[in-house]
Order: sequence, then structure tokens, then C-alpha cells
Amino acid sequence: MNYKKLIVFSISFLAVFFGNIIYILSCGGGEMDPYDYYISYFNTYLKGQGYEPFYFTSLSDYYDEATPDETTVNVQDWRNYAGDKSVSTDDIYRYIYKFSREQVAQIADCSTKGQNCSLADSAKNNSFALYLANPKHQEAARYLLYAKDCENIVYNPDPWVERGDQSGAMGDLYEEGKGLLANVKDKDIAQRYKFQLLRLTHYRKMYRETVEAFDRDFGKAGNGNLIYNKALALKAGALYHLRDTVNAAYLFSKVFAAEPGLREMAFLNVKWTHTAAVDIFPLCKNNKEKANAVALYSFQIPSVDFTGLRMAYQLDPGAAVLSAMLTREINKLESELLTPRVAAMGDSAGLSLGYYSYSYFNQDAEGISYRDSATALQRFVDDVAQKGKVQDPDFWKVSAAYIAFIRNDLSGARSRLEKYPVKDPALKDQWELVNLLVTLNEQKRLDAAFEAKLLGSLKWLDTKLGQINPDGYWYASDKNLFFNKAMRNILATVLAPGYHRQGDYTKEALIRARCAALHLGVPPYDAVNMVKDEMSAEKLIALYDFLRSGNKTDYEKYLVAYFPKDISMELAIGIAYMRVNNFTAALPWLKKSPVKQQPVSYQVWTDQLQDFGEDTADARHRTPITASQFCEEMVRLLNLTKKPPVSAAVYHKIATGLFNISYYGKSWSMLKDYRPSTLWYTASCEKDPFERQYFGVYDAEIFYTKAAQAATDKEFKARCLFLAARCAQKHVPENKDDKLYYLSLMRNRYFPVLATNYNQTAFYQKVYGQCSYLQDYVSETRRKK
Amino acid sequence: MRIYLLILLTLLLAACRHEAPRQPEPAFYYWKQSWTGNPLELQYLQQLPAKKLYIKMFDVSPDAGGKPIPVAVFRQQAPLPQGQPLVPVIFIMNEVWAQLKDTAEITAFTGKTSRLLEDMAMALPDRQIREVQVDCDWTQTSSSPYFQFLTTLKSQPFFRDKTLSATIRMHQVKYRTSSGTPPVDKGLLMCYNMGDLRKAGDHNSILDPATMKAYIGSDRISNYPLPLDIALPLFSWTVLFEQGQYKGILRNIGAAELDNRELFIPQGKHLFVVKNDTLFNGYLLRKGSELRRETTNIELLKSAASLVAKQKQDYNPTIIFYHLDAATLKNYPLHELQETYRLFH
Repeated sequence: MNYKKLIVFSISFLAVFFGNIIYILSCGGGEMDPYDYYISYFNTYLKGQGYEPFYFTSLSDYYDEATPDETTVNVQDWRNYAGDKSVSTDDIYRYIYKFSREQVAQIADCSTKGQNCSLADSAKNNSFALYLANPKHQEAARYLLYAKDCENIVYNPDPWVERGDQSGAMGDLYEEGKGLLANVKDKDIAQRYKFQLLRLTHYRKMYRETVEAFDRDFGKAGNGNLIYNKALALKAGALYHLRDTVNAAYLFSKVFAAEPGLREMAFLNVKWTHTAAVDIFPLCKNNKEKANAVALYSFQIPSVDFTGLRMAYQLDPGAAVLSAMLTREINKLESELLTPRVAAMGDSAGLSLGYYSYSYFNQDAEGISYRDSATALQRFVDDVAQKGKVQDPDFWKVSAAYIAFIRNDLSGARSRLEKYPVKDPALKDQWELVNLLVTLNEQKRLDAAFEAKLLGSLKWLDTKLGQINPDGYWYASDKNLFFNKAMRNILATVLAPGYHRQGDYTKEALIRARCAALHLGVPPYDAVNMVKDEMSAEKLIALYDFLRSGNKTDYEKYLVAYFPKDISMELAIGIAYMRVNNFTAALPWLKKSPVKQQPVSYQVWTDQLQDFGEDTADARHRTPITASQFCEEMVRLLNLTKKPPVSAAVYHKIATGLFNISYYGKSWSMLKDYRPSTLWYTASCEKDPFERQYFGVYDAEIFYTKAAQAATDKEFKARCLFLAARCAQKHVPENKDDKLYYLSLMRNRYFPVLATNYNQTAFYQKVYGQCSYLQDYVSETRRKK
Repeated sequence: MRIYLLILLTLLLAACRHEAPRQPEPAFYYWKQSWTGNPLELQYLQQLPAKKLYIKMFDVSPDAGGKPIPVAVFRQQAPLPQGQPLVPVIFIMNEVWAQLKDTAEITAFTGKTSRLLEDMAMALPDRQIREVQVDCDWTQTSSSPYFQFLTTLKSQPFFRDKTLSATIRMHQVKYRTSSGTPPVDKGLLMCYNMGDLRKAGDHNSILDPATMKAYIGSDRISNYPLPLDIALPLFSWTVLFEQGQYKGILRNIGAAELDNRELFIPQGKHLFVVKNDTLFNGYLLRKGSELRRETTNIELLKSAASLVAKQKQDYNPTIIFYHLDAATLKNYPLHELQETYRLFH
């Protein structure tokens, strides 16, 4: 066995196999879902419409688009302008956002000429086009053509084309627009022209002129519609470029307050001003504006901190934005307080829940500041819920109960739930969910009586599940899949660990199966993995008997319906027995399992002078050997060992079978679906009977030794001794000192007898050339002499 | 007897191959999006003296829908220097290749890229562009479309009379068989970012001679099938880890800031541990987080340069310092940079 060769092989294997992947990971990819990286039971979409970009996620810049977005509002404004019932918003949308310049030009032309011109089909089928084609509406039709022309100059439709400075083209358009505006009588159309002209001024970097133009054309109006707000944003931007950052920030905050579709833009622009809320307070006209400013700046803060929320509430308790701010604080506490606690509870049950690396998390030292923050938030929310001055009092009541749950104050949560029944239907579901969570956590033991109640809750959750889009490229957000996530979290982080702690592995497997059936993210292992990797034969038999038993409770029947049908429990049990070398017990189970599903080997009976390699059919190994056949042969051989005298060949064959199904053998797939190349024997393997054999190959060594003792042929004896030496090498304890580790490998207990008594055999000559440990041992011995 | 001695001497003399000294050419890489004509940068350019200035024209990365688009397009806010030839560079993110499904798409993409590059090159003061460079960290999977792109690019009229070079990273030198060799006229060996930036631990992922040695071996550079220019790093940065997880690079926290014992406890060669939760220079730092200060200094640079310089190709390499940035250059007196590139003689 050549240590050096192995290292080279491993590194090359790893490098070739993983080299690309490692490098890709180090440059990107392997990232967490920005909407699902912590345990959350609080729906971000409950209250807070219009502030969707600012829902909490610390892994993504913005959460979602605001409602209503700019397109929707613009289309609605045109609909209101038209005032004609026959004009549909769909058609308006298509006309403005999808029609080409040619199509729009044709309509404008028809409208201006006033004759019955023939329209293209696309226009004939569009109610808004027909409306515009009417000469009565020619101002609107002409305007939309002008707007289209501006769009093509103001935005570069093709990023691959460097257009250079567009000031000339913009100047021309400006003059054209001015001319058109002079003849417009309709106030709304005039306002839109003024907006376009304003934008062309701003984009030509004429900032003073932009400010003047806004004050002149929009200053008095202030009717707060979309066009006005877009114009206001242009003035604010101009002020920013003129270095008047405070005024700019103030105006952007007004845009932020007025127009959901422009909030993201206003928020980003305020960040550029590098101001704080207090900087713009002197400009705010009233407390409402101050509260809005506080809210805006608070959205910049990703850490637990409700100072802004408290201040905004004191300034304007009726503000709509408070709900969005409160939701953020709750989500932050879910991330910083709830998730670590649940993860720690999972760890204590021996289950890693997969929420990122809290292994270094020191609960007492770090968690303290979050617990204090949570307590302070609780007091604040309780106070607000009681006073009831806010826009969504029911929302604050449910929040108060949920915050108590986050703080692990279950009785506090329970009392608040009872004190605050909710009427708002949107919040009823959230109330029910919090209620369920409290009940689950209050329950000390998951027994049959509780399970009967739990069934109702699980079925209720089923009615709330959303449809997963199979083509969905991006991650799930709370909008459609909130209850799917909640159910998955309850199953994977509460119920499964709960049953595991109780020692009820059957139920744990059933819960995991139900969880996997949600197809939403990956808990550390699902039922299939559990059956194949985590359960001993005894536990599997218990599960097997349960699945076949006749009298199941309704709860059990519900769960069993989700249990995967294509797992062969018999095969799993057989392999579980094989793993602990109990071939006698394994055999009857393997005989019952479907042959097609059994692992197959070709070379399991051929001893290996080197580790690893592929177990494939070749000229010398044509016969497939199923697990069942392998087991049968092992049982037969083991029975032969009970009737002395036992031939060396029998012992040798047993040992070979045992070695070859170990981690180092070619036939490891008899016992495992997957063998990563990065595992090795460690001291902790001694604790687990499977790992002891899989990594330590103790029994294989014993049988090779017996084979050596029983053998008469010197060559064969040497062979068996060497094979035993290979096994002994596997369970050498690890040592941080590389030199000492190498020495312990070199001083293999079988080398003395091999080197002394068998060094004349042909076999010894062959392996001496291959095994550097043996060579080094021999040199060391020679030196000592 | 004497004749044998004479023969022996002759043989020995013949065995001493007299290697002609190389003429390395120093150069700078400019990676920022706007050229602002910073006086220190101009001074270094003139006095190194840099024989070339590499300027990144744009990046290509996939947009939200997966289509490749140009980003970070270069803007000239001050006159560019006239003293050295300019080499336009484009950086292509490896993710782009997965989105191009067939030859037609690759050809279309190549056309767009070359047109934009040509337009931008024409706007540069030095109209005699002699070399163009492509920077892409390709992988085994993307080698086929990327190499196809390079071949098609070279056949475009604008590129036919120009030298086309491509960046080669450490792992692509070591695993030449699986990575492949790009079909270009020459390569640029990037002697930096050789470690795993995102792996927590007390190492320097920018430049580490032992790691570099493992990659370049004793002859992988001299045996590389393309003539290789060499890029050496001058930059430093601080990397943030929270609970062993990579969080990002902190732009304005350097050695001076980390010297603050109230906030940072030094640990090991490059690590600092955050003492208390704090908001520092705009970053929220949690107690227990680790900051890893990765630097390059002149000793490290020279030792890496010596390693690389040992493997000579039959070619006068351009030695490019990454990157031309006043804040970075302040740490490197000119004469030290000159000593470094002279190691390649």
C-alpha cells in the first residue's frame, strides 16, 4: 500500500473532480436563498403594501416590486383621463408599452388628419388606439408619439451600442416639444409635455434650468399625481447635482411618501445624499413628513434596531408605513434570535437543521443584546396594541403575541392570543399560525392525544399551501409560498426533532416524508435518506412493522400517505444488518427484497492489494453478484468456520468480502449509495458499530490473520499476512504530527513476521516494490542492526 | 592525458549555455471605470517607465434574464496619457457562456462585443492599437464556447492585424490538460488571487509563494505553449467572515483602522477578531467576526517574482503591475517596482 501514491491519486482525483467546482464556488454560486435563509413564521406581505422593496432580507438589495408599480398607475391615469368605458387598461398598457413607434405614429397621423384612414389590425383591435384615432383626442395621440420619441433618446435600447453624447438630439426634441406644447389646450396633456421637457433639460445636465422649470411649471399645481412626482424627483436630482444634498433628500422623501412605484428610486437617491433623517427635519412641514423621513432612513438599517419605529410612531401613529417597519423588526428578530435558538435545540437532539453554521454561536454572550432588544420591542408593541391608535390595530395585536413567541415566552404569547382575537380576515391566518406554534412548543410530549389535535392543524395548513411554479427560476417568496415554508419549518425544525428526542424514529421518518413532499428546499435529510443512512436495522424493522400494521390512527394514515412508495424497506433492513456484519440476520430480508433494486458487484470476492478502484464487469469477472447472493455466500462461509478444520481459503474469502464492502473496497456500494473521497478513519468511528467496520475493517483483519494461520502454502500465507497488514493500517489513530503518524503506519504489526519469514516469497518481492511503508520498515530495521 | 582534459574542458564550456538576458517591459493595468488623470498615477506611468497601459473597456455579465450585456463601461473624464501604447481589455464573466446555447449565439455575441470594443478603441487617443486582451476565468465546461469566441474574434477585421492575448490564471497553468489553452497569440499569467478568498482562515489568498510554487511547479510556465506576460499584484484588502462564513470585502478598513485595539484583537498572521458589536466606517461588525487583512508588500512581490522569473521562456515578457491606483501606489516607492521587474532579466 503506497501512501505517496494514494496522496497523489487523491489530490489529482479531487483536483480533477472538484477543481472546477471549488474554483466556481470561490467565485460565486453556492449562495443562500435570500428569502429563506432563516426560520420565519411571520408573513412579510401581511401589511405593508407599497413598501415591498423594503421587506426584510439581508441577502438581497430589494425584496419585491412595490404595488402599485409605476406602469399600473400610469395606465390607470390614462384610463381616468379617457373616461371612456370602452377603453380597457390592457389595451392602454399594450399601446403605451408594447406598440412600436411606427404604430403609434400611424395613430397620431390619423387622429390629426381627421379623416377615415385605414388602421392596421393591431390598432383596430385596440380600444385605446381607436379612442386616440378619434380627432377629438388628437392632442393625446400626438403627445404619445412625442413621448415615444423622447423614450428612444432618453434610454439606450441597445447596451451594445455606444451612442455617445445625446445632447444634440435632446436639444432638438426639446424645441419640438416646446412647439407642440404651445398649441395644447388640455391641462393633463400639457402637464405631460412639461414633464418630458423637464426631463430633457435634466438629462442635458442643465440643473439650474431644471429647478427653475419645475418651480415654474409644477410649483403651483402640486396635485400629487404620478407625473408630478416624477417631475419632483427630477428637481430633487438636479438639486443633488448642484450639491444641495439636504434639499434634494427632502424632496426625494416627499416622492417616497407619495408614490409607491418610485420608492425604490427615491430611496436609492437619498442614500447618495449621505444625509440622515435629522438633516431634513428642519425642512419638514409637519410630523407626518418627519415620520415619513424616519421610516425612509430606517429602511437602510439591516440590524435589530427599532429606534426609528418608535420615533415614527410618536410622530404619526396613523402612518401606514409603521406596519412595514414593524414587520422588518420582527423578521430581524426571527433571524437573530429565533433561528439560532431553534438551531441550537436541533443540535442538542443530535440533528443539524442546516441553518448556517451556528456551531460557534455562543448563546449567552451574543444573544443577550438581541434578547434585550426583543424585550424592549415587546413592551413597545404591547403599548401600541393596547392604545389602538394605529392604522392596523389587529396587526399589532398578533405581532405582540408573536414577539412573545420569538422570546420563548410561551405563556406570554398564549395570554396575548387570548386577549386579542382578531377580526381582520387577512390576519386570522397569522393568528392561527402563531397559536399553532405556541401549542406545539407548549407540548412536552408528542403523544396520541396531541397527535389527534395536530392532524386538524396539518390539514388546515394543507388548505393554505400555494402552488410551486416548476419553471420558477428564482427563489420562493412569501407571496405565494408562505404557508409552504411555515409548514416545512414546523415539520423539519419542530416535529421531526421532537420525535427524534422522544426516540420515536418511525414518526420522525413519517414527518420527514411529509416535509419532503412539499418540495420546498432541503432539510438536512428526508425520509429516503433517513431510511437509507440514519437508521439501524432495529429501527427500520419497527418502521416496517408499523407501515404494514392495520390499525393506524387518522393522524398516522395522513402521514403514511406521503411516505415514498418506491423504497424497499426489506432491502434497507437487509443492508442495515450487513453494515454491522450481521449477515445471518440480513439474509432473510435480502431474499424478500426486489432483485432489481439490490446493489450488484462483480469483484467482491477478489482480494485487493490496493484500495479503491471500480467494481465493474471484466474478462475475469463476468458474473453479477447481488447483495442477496453475497449475503448467502457469507452465511455459508461463516457456518463453515464453525466446523473445524477450517481451510484458509474460507477465512480468506470471508475477509475479502468484508474488506471489499468497506470504504476502501471496490464494492462499497453494497452498503452505501454515495462515498465521498474526503472521509477517513477517525477515533470517533470506534463509537459506531457500522463505522468501526466500514472505516476500521477490524473483522476483515481478524479473518485475514486466521487465513494466514490456517494456510500451508507460504505464498498464500504471505498474501494473507499482507492483506491483514493493509487492514491494520486502516485503523491507526490519527495524529497531528505527520512524522509520528507515518511512523505508526510504518511499524505495522505484521511487517516483522513478513520481513523475517517471508521475504523470499515471490509475493513478498512483488509487494515490496509497491509498498513504501514496507520498504521504510525494512530500511529502519536494517539501520538499527 | 592532456587531450582528454582538453576535450573535457571543451565539453564543459559547451555545456554552459550562455543565455541571453531578457528585456522585460514594465506596464500598468488600469481597472477603474473612469480615467480621472490623477497626478500620482500619471507620474508612476511616466517614471516606471511603463511601456504599455492596459485599460479595461467594459465587463460582460448576464442580466436578470440571462442575456450578456456590457457593464461598467469605461469613461474618459480627463485626457489619457500619450506616452505609452494603450491595450484595451474586456472582462467576461464565466457565467456568460452557459447562456449562449449554440454557435449562432456565440457568433452574434462575438459580433456585438467586437463592435463595441472597436467603437471604444476608436475613441481612444492612441489609434494605433496593437494589442487587445480578453480576461475570462474560464472552466473546463466553458472552454469550448470561450475558445470559439476567441477564434471568431480574431477573424474579425478589426482584430486581424492585432495581437490577441488572454489572461491565464494559476489553476489553468497547473491543470493545462483539463483547462485547455486558449487560441490566442499570447497569455497573461495572473500571479494573484491564487488562494481561496471565501475560505475562512489565516492565509493570504492574494499572494502566497508556497501556493504559487504548488501551481507553477518547476517548469509549467517555461513549458506553457503560449508566450506569457506576467501580472503582479500591488493591492490589499480586508475580508470579513462571520461565523466562518464569507461576508465580503471591506473597502475602507485597512492597516491603520485595524490598529485600533479597542475594536480589533490581532490573531495569527493576518487575522483580527472584532471585540464588540460596532458600526465602523459604514460597516456593521459583529462581535466575534473575523477580519482578514490580505496584503502584498515588496518582499512578497519580489519573492513571487523571483519564483516566476526562474522559469524562462524564449520571450521578453511584459511585467504588468495591477493596478494603477493612487491609493495603492502610495505603498510602493518607484525604485522598488523597478527592482521587481528587473528580476525578470
